[in-house]
Amino acid sequence: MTPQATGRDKREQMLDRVRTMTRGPIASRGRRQVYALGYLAAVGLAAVGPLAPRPAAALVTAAGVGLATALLVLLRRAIRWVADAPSEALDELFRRIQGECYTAAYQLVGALVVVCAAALLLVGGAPGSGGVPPQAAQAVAWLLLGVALGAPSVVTALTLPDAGPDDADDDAAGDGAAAAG
Amino acid sequence: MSPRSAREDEQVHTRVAMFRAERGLTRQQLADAVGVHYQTVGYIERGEYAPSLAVALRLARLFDVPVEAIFALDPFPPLRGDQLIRRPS
Repeated sequence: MTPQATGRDKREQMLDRVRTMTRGPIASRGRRQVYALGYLAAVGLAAVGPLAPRPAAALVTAAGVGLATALLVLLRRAIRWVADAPSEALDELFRRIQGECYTAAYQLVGALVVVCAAALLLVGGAPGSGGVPPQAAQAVAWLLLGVALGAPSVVTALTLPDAGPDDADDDAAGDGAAAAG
Repeated sequence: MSPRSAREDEQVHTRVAMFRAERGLTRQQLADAVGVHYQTVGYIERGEYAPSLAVALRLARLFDVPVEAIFALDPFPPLRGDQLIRRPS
């Protein structure tokens, strides 16, 4: 077996594992929304941490980071890793949804970067301001880091279509006559 | 983000659910046979997603019928009892 073939085999094995992970049912819209909005709230908590009074600042940031990490894991599981899986491991519909969600996430992160950059320039560039306070810079850094890491999963969770009422129904009779046109 | 890929006036009508039921397949079995997620089969059956030509052809081959027997731009006329669907040999 050549080294190239071994590498290809390993990638195929990895893709098979990912395909198995993505096969299951996607969580309900309500649960996805709870995880996605919870993640954004936790990122916000981590971001305001540096602005908190000194003894509590590190604690608040740590709590926010820990909560955000746990919620991001739950969020990715809830959407069956549609946002993170290699596109070869997804079917054509989820591949398209992944592409659309990455586009929306890019626009979201881009808009946030523009707002943050403008705010920092205004605050830091104002005459007599003395520059951007380090706590504010840390807060912006945590916010951007959290949003950039989670944006694809958050957008996917909030926009994935709901499954049909009987999509998980294993009954072969299904609703054949109803959808026959 | 809706899975609907066609505009309302380009709605694709489908008989996938009917053929699947007629063949006694579950959504998961059909999804495995044509290489899509089982929820994608649900979207296709409800006309919320028009699949690619490759998936449409795989469905036609699986059901052993022409692709236009499964998908159409106009609504399908109701089937009469004597209009049997050709089963795979």
